[in-house]
Amino acid sequence: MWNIAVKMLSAQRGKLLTALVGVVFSIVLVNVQGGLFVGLIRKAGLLVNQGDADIWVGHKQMNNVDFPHDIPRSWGQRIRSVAGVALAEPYLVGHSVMTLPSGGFEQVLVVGSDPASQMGSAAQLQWDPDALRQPDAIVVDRLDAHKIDNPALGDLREIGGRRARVTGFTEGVLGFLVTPYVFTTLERATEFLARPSGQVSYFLVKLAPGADAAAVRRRLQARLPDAEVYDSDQYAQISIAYWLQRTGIGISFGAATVLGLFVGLVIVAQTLYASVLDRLAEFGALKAIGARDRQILSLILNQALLLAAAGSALGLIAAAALQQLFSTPRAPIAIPWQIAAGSCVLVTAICLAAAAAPFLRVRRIDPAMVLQS
Amino acid sequence: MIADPLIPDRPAATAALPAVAALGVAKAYRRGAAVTPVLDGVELTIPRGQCAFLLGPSGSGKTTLLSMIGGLLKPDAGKLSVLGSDLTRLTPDAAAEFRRTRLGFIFQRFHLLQGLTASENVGAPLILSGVQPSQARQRAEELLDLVGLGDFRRQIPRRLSVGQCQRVALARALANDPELILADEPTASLDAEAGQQAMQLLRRVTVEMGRTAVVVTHDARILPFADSILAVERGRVVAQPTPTARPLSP
Ligand SMILES: Nc1ncnc2c1ncn2[C@@H]1O[C@H](COP(=O)(O)OP(=O)(O)OP(=O)(O)O)[C@@H](O)[C@H]1O
Ligand SMILES: [Mg+2]
Repeated sequence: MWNIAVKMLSAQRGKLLTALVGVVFSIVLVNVQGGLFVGLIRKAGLLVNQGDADIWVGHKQMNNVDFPHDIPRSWGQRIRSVAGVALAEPYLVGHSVMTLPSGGFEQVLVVGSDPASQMGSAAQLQWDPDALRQPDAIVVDRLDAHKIDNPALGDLREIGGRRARVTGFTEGVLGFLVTPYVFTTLERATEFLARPSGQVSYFLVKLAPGADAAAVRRRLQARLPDAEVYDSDQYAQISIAYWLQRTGIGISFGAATVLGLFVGLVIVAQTLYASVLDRLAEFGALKAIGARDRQILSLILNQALLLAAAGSALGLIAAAALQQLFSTPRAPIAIPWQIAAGSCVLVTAICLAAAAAPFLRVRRIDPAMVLQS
Repeated sequence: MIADPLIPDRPAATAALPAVAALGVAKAYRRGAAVTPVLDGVELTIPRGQCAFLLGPSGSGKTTLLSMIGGLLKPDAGKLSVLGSDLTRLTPDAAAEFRRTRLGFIFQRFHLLQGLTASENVGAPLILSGVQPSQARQRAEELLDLVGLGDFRRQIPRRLSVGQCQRVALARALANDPELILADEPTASLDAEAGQQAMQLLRRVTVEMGRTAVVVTHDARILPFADSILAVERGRVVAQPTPTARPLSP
């Protein structure tokens, strides 16, 4: 049966190709658009994802890693005393203004952490940790350099009225905001941000080996009722949800994708539908020689499945190739498996529906027509 | 299990009955209020193992009668028994099963499946009956050998001549080892010589193997192949004298 389905389909190469192109197009569109969207929105959780902490402790109702409120640095002692906590390190994030040599200004997001730490940006951004040991040292991203008048190593800038010297570059650490990140030590960040020295933004917590994360979180919450305590993944999600909900970016991205997808799927559905109607005579002949309606339906559905499977495979390969070619730190394409799988399921469902729809026509074929032609 | 095409294996109970028996069969086509009466009071008997020809002017109802014998159309009135089954009582599903298991069709335009090779076309009815693909292929190749197309198994219909397509259609009609073969204008698209060869082959694989054949035709050149000739005239069927000299099978 499967063989007959395949062969019958192959007799209509033109139609088959059109439908296949439609399927591939739909899959590529969803995956690349979705991948761009996920890539973009994931930047909102960048600091959390690169922080390599297990748990983030911050101000009550914290909702965006880039917009924290102060918490007392003295919480560090209490956090470290909770069973299951191996490390707890202060982390400071805040907005300031950089004065440029050209006379302009640039909003920057200052991130301060201990350069020797295993957590926070310092350890994860893979620059030379010694870079931050020089006086006034800051590290900025090479792709953001043009925003701050392209500093060379050793060039001076001013942040919050304090001297800053560019001593290193990160590669492609770009946030969701257009504001460049400036990485530095905790002490220097406190100065750039003109914060009282007893205040930080977060404590990054590493669990002791074998510790139960949920239990540690509960104990931390009990010890610090004024704090918010989240798993890293949770906090990244919350930061992402912040932008999703407040900007409606998902809706605009989604609308564009849905529109394109609609075009692709209409092509697929229309082609499949027409291809079944084109073959009414063949189905009539099959009925005349004794095929049951159910067998013809299974033939048609097999053909749709085959098309969906082949198109999905080709589409995913094409999407992966496009991702390899065009994903950049500025516009990363991150295709989570849910989007890949979801697009295949969707396309398969549409193919099955489009092929099954004209089955009512096929059912009504009078096999006697084969003799009367 | 499919029996060997050369040794038909039939239940004895119905063997004594004629292959086709019609009593007062009537048929009219209705489209809305328009009624086209075609057949009325058809009486006919076709004994088993014979090759019967249906003749008649265009539009007289030959195809209509063949369709009823083939379980594709239901008579409006009368009795129609084919291979011992009362066709006026069959449900559409039962009629499909009847066609699949007991009849073989050769359509005027053959209606081969375009994407399938000759061998796959011949095996298609077997696949529909749930035969394993490998077995179906083997049986199809035997049948293609039988109709002299052993070298064309892998060809698709578009690559075959009309006469070859006709033979593929014949082989397909034999796939399920049917008792009764129905052919509508089997030689209409063939030239004189190919028509003669086709009829010789048809006789060889039907009546000479104990099967019954009903052939609708316009073609006077093939009348010598008939065991009996029935003419459809003004809605009825009238028996005709049969030409005595029949060309011998090679
Ligand atoms: N589906 C149909 N609906 C209405 N009228 C039909 C239908 N099929 C056939 N007819 C009519 O019934 C009559 C008999 O048709 P049929 O096809 O049986 O004739 P035929 O003897 O096979 O003719 P031909 O030699 O041209 O094939 C014709 O007048 C035809 O127009
Ligand atoms: Mg006809």
